[in-house]
Amino acid sequence: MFEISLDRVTWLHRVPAGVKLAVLALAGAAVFLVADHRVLGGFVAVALLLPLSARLPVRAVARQSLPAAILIALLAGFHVLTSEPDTAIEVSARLATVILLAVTLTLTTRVSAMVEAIETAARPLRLVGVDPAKVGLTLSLAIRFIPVLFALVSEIREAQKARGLEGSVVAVVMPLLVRTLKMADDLADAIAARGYDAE
Amino acid sequence: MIEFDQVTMRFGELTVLDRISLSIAERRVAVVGANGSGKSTFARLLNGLIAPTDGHVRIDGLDTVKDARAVRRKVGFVFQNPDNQIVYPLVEEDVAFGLKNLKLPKDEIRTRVDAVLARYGMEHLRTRPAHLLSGGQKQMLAISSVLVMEPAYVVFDEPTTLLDLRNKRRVTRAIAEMPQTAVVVSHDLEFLEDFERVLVFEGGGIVCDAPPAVALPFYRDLMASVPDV
Ligand SMILES: Nc1ncnc2c1ncn2[C@@H]1O[C@H](COP(=O)(O)OP(=O)(O)OP(=O)(O)O)[C@@H](O)[C@H]1O
Ligand SMILES: [Mg+2]
Repeated sequence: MFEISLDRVTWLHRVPAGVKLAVLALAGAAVFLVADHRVLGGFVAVALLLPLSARLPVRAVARQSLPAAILIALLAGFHVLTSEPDTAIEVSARLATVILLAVTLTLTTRVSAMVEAIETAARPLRLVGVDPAKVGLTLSLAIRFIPVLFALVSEIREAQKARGLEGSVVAVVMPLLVRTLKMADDLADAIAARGYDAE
Repeated sequence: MIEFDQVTMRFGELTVLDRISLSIAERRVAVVGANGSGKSTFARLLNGLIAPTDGHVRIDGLDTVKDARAVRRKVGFVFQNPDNQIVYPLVEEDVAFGLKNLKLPKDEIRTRVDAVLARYGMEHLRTRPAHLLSGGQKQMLAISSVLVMEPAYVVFDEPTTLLDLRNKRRVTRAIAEMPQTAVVVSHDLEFLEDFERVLVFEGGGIVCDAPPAVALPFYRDLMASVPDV
């Protein structure tokens, strides 16, 4: 999740984060507005060619797309079974386009650059009382803490397994809740201690 | 100069610190005491993370409540668990976080991040995701992210408790070598032997305030003499 490939800086790395985000958003919307299979095929082709043109490591692209690919296969299979092969093609093409573009974006863009772009885009929200810097901080924290939470869950599950409680949801959820709240508390302190002003 | 002027800290009914007065001019000060004796509370008072119930804490004459923002810039804080301090996914992004808040120019941020990473031997980790670092590397990252702000004082609350021996050594060496004034809460008594001054907390107060040669044996005796509860 959100690993960036920095072995080689490609032309895609150099495109400003804001531009990449805008392309993702526009393409994501456009692909849901068309149903013509040839146009959809064109979208998928471009989404595939982009990472290839920058010669991003194929393994990294594949690994990050895998969970979504499984989901796409399931959805497509479902539509084929309910004898809607057209829908199967459309759904697969649309999702594949969006996923491939999103993976390409995360592989070539720093989280801080993405957050900055979003902060800039969120600037008009100031008029309605939303602080764009806070939006940015919230986003980076969410991204940063996904792997931390995963590690926490597996640590707790292991501990409960050792006590013979592997079947119990409560045994995982309760300590997870306690630890997460404590973590949030500590984190708020750490952010304050590093000079971040909440106002 | 750190000054505590008749500082009392209460949480509801519980009085954790009772009319503490002291001033600290030494560069290496240690804080020891049993669990729950108020060490973290003392540490958190130092940079205004909490406000005293009574009395005043001053850092170079600045009140931690009235001049909170200036105090935060003067006093850095390193916590026990680095996982709860790292804000950004990549090492270099995290080190840059505080500087960005100051709205410094990009070039200056880059120069200062480079300098700190080089100083603590972490250049090769700069584009690593923080969650893939070892515990010791994470704590060094947390320390770097604090030191890049160039605070005059750094408070450490049990910075080595979660680390293995090798990483503990790395972190204690980094603390020993840094030019700033350090106030360190720790249960690692060996590490504190080179400090200038040790404060022993017990029962809401400081029961011993002396160089380690005197204070550490005092603390060991105290812990041995307290009956189990
Ligand atoms: N925010 C708070 N609200 C209520 N009680 C608190 C709060 N913070 C600390 N305490 C209580 O104050 C007492 C001292 O806590 P403190 O964390 O300062 O101890 P400590 O010496 O750091 O202990 P340890 O060695 O376990 O870290 C404890 O009894 C604790 O439960
Ligand atoms: Mg403590």
